[in-house]
Formats: sequence, structure tokens, C-alpha cells
Amino acid sequence: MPRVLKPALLSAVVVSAVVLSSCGDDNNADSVADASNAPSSDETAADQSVDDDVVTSVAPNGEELDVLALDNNFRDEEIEIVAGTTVVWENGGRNDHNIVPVDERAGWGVDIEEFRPGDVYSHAFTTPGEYPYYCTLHGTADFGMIGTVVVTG
Amino acid sequence: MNRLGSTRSRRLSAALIGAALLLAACGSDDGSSGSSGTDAPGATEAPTATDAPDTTDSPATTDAPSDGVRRVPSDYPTIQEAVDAAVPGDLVLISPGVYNEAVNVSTDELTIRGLDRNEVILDGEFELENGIRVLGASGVAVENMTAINYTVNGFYWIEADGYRASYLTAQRNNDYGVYAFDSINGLIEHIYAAGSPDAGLYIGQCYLCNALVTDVWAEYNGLGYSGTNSGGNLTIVNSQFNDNRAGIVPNSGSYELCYPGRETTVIGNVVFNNSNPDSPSKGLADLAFGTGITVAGGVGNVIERNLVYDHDRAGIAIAPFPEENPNDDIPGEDEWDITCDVQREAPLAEVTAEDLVAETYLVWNPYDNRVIGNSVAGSGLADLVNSGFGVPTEELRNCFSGNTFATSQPASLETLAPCDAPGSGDWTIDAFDPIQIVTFEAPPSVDYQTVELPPLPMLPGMEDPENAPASPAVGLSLTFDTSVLTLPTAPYYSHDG
Repeated sequence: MPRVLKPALLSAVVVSAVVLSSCGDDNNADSVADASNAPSSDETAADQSVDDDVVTSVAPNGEELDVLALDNNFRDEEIEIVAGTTVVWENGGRNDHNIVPVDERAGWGVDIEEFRPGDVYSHAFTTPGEYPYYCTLHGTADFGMIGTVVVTG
Repeated sequence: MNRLGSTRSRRLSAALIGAALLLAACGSDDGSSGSSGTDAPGATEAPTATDAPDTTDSPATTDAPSDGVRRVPSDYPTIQEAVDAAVPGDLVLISPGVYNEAVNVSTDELTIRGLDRNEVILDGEFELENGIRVLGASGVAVENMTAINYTVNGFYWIEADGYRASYLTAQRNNDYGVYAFDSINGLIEHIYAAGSPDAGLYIGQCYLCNALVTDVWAEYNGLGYSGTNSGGNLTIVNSQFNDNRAGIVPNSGSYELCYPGRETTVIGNVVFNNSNPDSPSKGLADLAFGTGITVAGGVGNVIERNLVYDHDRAGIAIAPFPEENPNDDIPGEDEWDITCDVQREAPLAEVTAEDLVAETYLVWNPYDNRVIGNSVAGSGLADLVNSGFGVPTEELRNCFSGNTFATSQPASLETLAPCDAPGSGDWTIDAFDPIQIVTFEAPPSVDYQTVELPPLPMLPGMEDPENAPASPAVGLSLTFDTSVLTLPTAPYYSHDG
């Protein structure tokens, strides 16, 4: 039976997903691809983006989509994936970058120290929604080196 | 799954946390600010706050000033608050002091000015990322101040249409001292930049850049000037690059967009002693170590009437750039006139093994570069170098005329490849072996935070900063009659006064 998060549970999910101790600190911060555990903390953004609609999270499906971090652009800047897909970012530039979700509670992303040229970071998006992110060194939440992952159900 | 094309639209849900909160939590530099208004000693080391600020208790004014001038700290305790309150056309005027701020600018046509170039100091304390970062705002001018100790850049423009950097000093900033990325219509003048591992000055990802660089002094950096995938009415004149790992290095590479690098004009500069093992470095600085002016895989650049001397490897090198881990294949010649706004949207091609040399390198070869009337001497390998890889050098169409030099690789370069005349001779004699570009081992980098640097020179500031009106970077005069420039005969600057 699909797991359904009712609005009453959203607060608890949000609180548990808060990551304030460090920028881009990710519960799945390994530099290799990882399958996020369900329920994923990216559900917070998804749930809130669809208001009272029922949102279903899925398990990682083994599919991957690559995003290239250049100096100073993400290519492609906006991608669309189905829930369960893992996005793999590679720093193909010569500068350090980071990946910071606009939603600071999202619990994914990668610090500068782990996203130097040649480094790879991945995250499985298991809940439909839109997940904007950016590099703090070369942009802000809505300008410069920005990207968005659009996750469809 | 489907990919969407690149767009800049973003639909934010009501639940998303604002950028300011996120960045405050993350400790990044989106307008974070610290103390302000302390007295500033002039020294190479990070200045320490001495006297207490005079007006830290002053509340920020919320009324628009009648004269369009917003003063820091008398009207606003921090630069960021003044910038945030400013409207297009305003002048943000900063009194002497040390400002531990990272300032973001998003308002068009601001003039941000220090009252004293050497005593208005933005100090990142090796914690903040950028001193002043202009985020897409057009026409912003930053002038008459110093930025030191930032973990990324001192002064930084992103996607600006109209920018001006004047009378700025930048030291010990971890990427670049002054940086214009994906920006056009810019003037960079009267700059001192030292101690940056990447470059003192960088202009990247623009074509046509429409930028003028004049009176820059860059020393003790990885590169004095670096320009990746930039050019098109981009002129560097009357400047000095010394004691970097390499002096002036325009290049091509697929780690940024808008390749190849093309049409940079370099005239009337003094370039010497760029073989400094005691400077910080990253990236291209090591490949180009020990060279004065290197066009690394660039196209259509003009190198004229420069005084170039005392380099361990080459004085002026027109050379290939071997790129590791490329992200795209090399555009054909029929694409060299495509402007950046178009090229940047093109999909990236998959790089195959066939594209690579030694299964590793995507080689950008230099084409159509002109090296004329320079004085080059004291080079360890050769004063002039012309080379490609995988393409016969004579097919690169680079040319050399009227230069004063002693050695070249290949030999007799001006006979082989004169400008505007047919060449002749044997290209195999003393030909440059491009393999040595990748086999060369540069000295290890030194930490930019602790590297020994010359004392910060107390360079002249702008005239009458107190009373000069706001001067946003609008309608800039960016043409420079390079015909009036003559070959320099001595350095423009020294620490001997």
C-alpha cells in the first residue's frame, strides 16, 4: 500500500528533516551514488508544493540522470525526472562548487570540500516536486549558478 | 524520463525558505556582515580592528537621501545595508575603515565608492567568500577601495551588462582579485591584484565581451591575467604583470561555456619574471608556469608591442591547451563567430575516445594569432614559441613579425610565418615539442593565506571621491586607439617607489 503523508504529519516530517548545522550538509553526503532511504527528506518540499494533495514517495528505481557543474553553470539547468531517479552531479569545472538546496530543510546537497573539480555527488529524488538548488560561491537562490530538479510522479 | 531545455524560470512554492535564511544558516556570504567603521592600518597583513567604530549605534536611515548619496557608516552601519537601500543611480560612499562584509549587489546602476582606496578595506578574514559580488545588476561601478582575504573573489561581477572596476586593490583572494564572468561592456582600470592562486584579473565566458582593461598591476598570483573563452573587443593595455607563475594567459576550455577563447588584444604591456615558484597557484597557472604571454588554444588574438622578459620557459607562446576531462568537443571554425548567448545554449556533445589524445586530452589548438612588434628576451626555452598538437604548426595560421627576440621554436619563426606575407623554411628545425606542456612539473603551490607577498602598495586613488558625482557603468567609452601605444621600455610600477 503506498505510503501517504497526510497534512497532519507534515510538521513532524519537516522538523525531522531540518538541517541547520552546516550548509549543504547531506545525510547522504558520500561522494558516490547512494540510494536515499524512504521516506526521503526531499519530501518536505514536495509536500508543501502540492498543498493538500496526496503525495506518494517511491523507492529509488536505479535510473540516473547526469548534471554537469561547469564554471559557473549547471547543465542542464533544469531537468525533469520521474520519482525514484538518482541525479548525478559532476564538477566538470576547474573551480570549487557546492550544491545547496534552496529549501534549507531538504537535507541533501554537497559541501565545497566534497565537490571539487572531478568530484561527483548524487541524490535519489523519491518524491514528486520541484527542487531548486544553487552554488553559493557563484550564485544565489535565484540567480547565477542555479538549477532545478523537477520530479514527476 | 525527459529533460527540459535550460530555462531560468523557477516556480517556488510558498513553503520554500528564503535565500537569506538559508545562507545565514550555512554561513555563506549572501550579504552577511560584520563590524564596520574601524580604523584601518595599511599593511600587507590582514589589518586588525583598532579603534571602536564611531557610529555603530546609528540606526539605518530609511529615508531616501535627497542627494542620492548613502554614506557608510554614518547613514548605514554596513555596506550591505546601504546597498540594499539604494536605488538605481545612487552613490554608496564608504568611509575609511575595515569592513568584515561580503556584499551582494542586485540593484542596477549603483556606484559603490570608498573615500580612500587604501583605507577602505573589505576584509573577508578567510571566512567570507566574495568582497563585493554583483549579481546580474547592470551598470554597477565599484571604485576606490581594497578587498583582502576572501575565500573566493575580491570584486566579482556575474552576468552584468555594464560594469566598471576602478582604483581597486585586491590581495589574498583565493580565486581572483577582480573577476568578470559572463559579463559585457566593462571597464577595468587602475587595479592592483596580488596573491590570488588562480589569477589577479579574470574575464571569462563572453563573446563579444566589449571590455577594456588598462593600468592593471598584477603580481604574485597564479596567473596575472586569465581569460577563458572570452574575447571580442577585449583589449588589455598599459598594464604590468610580473612575478606571477605566468603573465597573461587567454585560453579555451570546455569547463566554461562560450568557447573558443578568441580575439583578445594585448598591447603595450610589461610582462616580466613570471616564473615565481613562491606564488600561490591553481589550474592553468601550472601548465603555463614560466611564460610571459601564452595563448593557450585561443583564436584570433593580437599580441603587439609588449615588453616581455626573463621567463624560465617562453616569453610569448602560441601553444595548444590540452584539456583533461573535457565536457564537450571542439567547435569547428564555422562556429567561431557564434556569440556567447547563442553558443551557451547549444547541447554538449559526448566526448569520445577519438576526440582525445592519449585517451586523456582534448587539445585546443591556437589559430590565427598575430604576434607583432614585441620585445622579448631572457627566456629559458625560447623567446617565441609557435606550436600545435595533432595539426602541422604551419596550418595554424599564426604569424610573427617585427619582434625583437633571440630564440624561437621553431627556429626562424618570423621567416616561417610572417604576418601579411608568404613564409618559407623548414618547420622541423627546433620545433617545439608540445608534449612538454603536460610533462612539465611546476613547483608546488603555496598557501594563499600565508604566502609572503610584497607590502600593499599605497597606490593613487580616484580624484575627489567625496564630491565626484555617481558614475554608474553606463555608456562607457570602451574603444581604445591602440595605434598611439608604443613599446614600453621599462616597468610601469615597482615597489621601490
